[in-house]
Amino acid sequence: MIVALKQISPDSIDPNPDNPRLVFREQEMNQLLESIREVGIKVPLSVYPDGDRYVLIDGERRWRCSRRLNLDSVPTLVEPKPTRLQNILTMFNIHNVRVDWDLMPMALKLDDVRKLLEKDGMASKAKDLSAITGVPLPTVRRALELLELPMKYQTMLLEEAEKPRDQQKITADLFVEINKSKRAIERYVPRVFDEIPEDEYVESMVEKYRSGVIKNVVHFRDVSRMARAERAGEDPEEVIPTLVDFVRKPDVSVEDAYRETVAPAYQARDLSTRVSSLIDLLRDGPRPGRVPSELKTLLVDLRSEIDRILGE
Amino acid sequence: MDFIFTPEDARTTAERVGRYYQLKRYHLQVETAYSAEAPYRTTLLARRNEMPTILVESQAALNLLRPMEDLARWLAAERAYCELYLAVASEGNLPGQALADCMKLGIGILIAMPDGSLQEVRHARNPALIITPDPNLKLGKLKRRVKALVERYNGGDRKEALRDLCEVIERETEVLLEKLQEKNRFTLSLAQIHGMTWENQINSLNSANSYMPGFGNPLAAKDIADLQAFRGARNLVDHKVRSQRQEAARDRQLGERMMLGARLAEVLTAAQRSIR
Repeated sequence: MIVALKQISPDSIDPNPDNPRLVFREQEMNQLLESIREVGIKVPLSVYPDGDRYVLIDGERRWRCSRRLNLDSVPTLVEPKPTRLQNILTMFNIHNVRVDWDLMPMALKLDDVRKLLEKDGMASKAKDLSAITGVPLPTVRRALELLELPMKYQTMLLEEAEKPRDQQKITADLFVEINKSKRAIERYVPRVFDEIPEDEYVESMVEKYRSGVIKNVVHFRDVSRMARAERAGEDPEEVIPTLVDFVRKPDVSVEDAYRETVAPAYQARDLSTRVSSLIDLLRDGPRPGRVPSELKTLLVDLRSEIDRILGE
Repeated sequence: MDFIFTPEDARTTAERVGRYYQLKRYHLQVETAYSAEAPYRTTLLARRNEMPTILVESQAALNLLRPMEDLARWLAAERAYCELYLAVASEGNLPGQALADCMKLGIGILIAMPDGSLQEVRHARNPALIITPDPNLKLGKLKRRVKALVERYNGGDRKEALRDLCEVIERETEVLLEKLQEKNRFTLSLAQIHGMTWENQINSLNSANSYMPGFGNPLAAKDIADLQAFRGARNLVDHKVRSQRQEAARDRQLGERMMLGARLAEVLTAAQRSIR
């Protein structure tokens, strides 16, 4: 591969269309801008020729800063033009190891890789994508999950990613958690979706989150626990009306629905597990007559609580 | 508006600002340098006929970057006919230190509101309209006053500064006549002097009939002509402009009058000193 070092005007360079990093935040850019103002560009950009212009392979942040600083020219390494698949994989290999990409742009680019691999008759499952791009498998799985979202939510995520991080309300994690809860409903209480379309479920959850009725994305895990009521010894059929109400009524929170349905059962199950461990501990504990006074006081308190619960 | 290097989190602000200037019929250029030598390209450049060029750097959070400082200094050195602003969205913060630094460099601050309006927190200084009167002017008792008015003018409060300078020059003309009368060089009484308009005071200064035998006008003919010319400054301040173009033209004239006013302040104080 012949590589040439040249001084090129930043105005004759175009960004790489296959760079999944679509979002460059001001704070990160400003640090680099100040640095380039002070010491210039010390590491050359990598580009490939495309007609009478050049396309960036590596150095988009430096390139953007050089344009802002109105520089006449920047040092560049000019490489031969790659194929589309080579180009995308280079983007993954160069960029993703440095700064994490936002999940949605990465998902879209992984989709491109998947299609190109399929076109060449190569394996394109999550683990294949992980191996070829170097992105950890759980991240690939989370990214691919976003591709199943309706287009309007994908667009919403891309738009949200453009905001400063502290102003971002809708995140990829929100949809990952909503999807998990949806899958739990599909699996354990599918009749819920006989009454409510799946899209309505997602829409309702997003709205509840936006309006603050659901305050944290991890609260969606309680929806999954409601769907798995059978595990706590509850009849799943009894959970269905509450879940339907929860989806339809905008002001019903996860906590409300959870308290109304499975909270006591899960609490009882949790208590059983702890009591069982306690019994084991007591059996292996101090012999009669040798109980320290502090422990003795606590055990007396425990006995009175047990008597109260059992009504004796 | 297609942005290339503007950070994504600053683009909402940039779009709001861009739309505002488009509605004001400015010709908008995105991420373009003021000139090839400029040390920084701002997000937006808005031009309209003879109006000063508006340079707006849109940001997610107000932050006065060193390259922006370079640009402000470069524009000042070039005496560029422009105004440089930092714009943030109404949701952003305005750190006090950045505001103070912007003020020192004459950079204006805009807040882009979600309804499409722009709120001007601070007006930018236009380097082309900055005046620097001769530092060797001997202004005596007026030194502090005139200096403050020049600073006020350069800070953007142009009309008010010139109006106040007019009052200074009017008052000093009257003081000169009073002094001539006090030293028995003038034929007019104090009551007559105080009853005169400024124009008549200048005319009487220039009239040989106003002086006692053996005395004459302490001002040179050129200075009298300048005083007469400066009288127009008050009209200029009160003149109602019908368009932004007229306003731009008036702004340029205000500077000339301020320079003239500073020189007249020296002339009048020197003349007062010469009467013993």
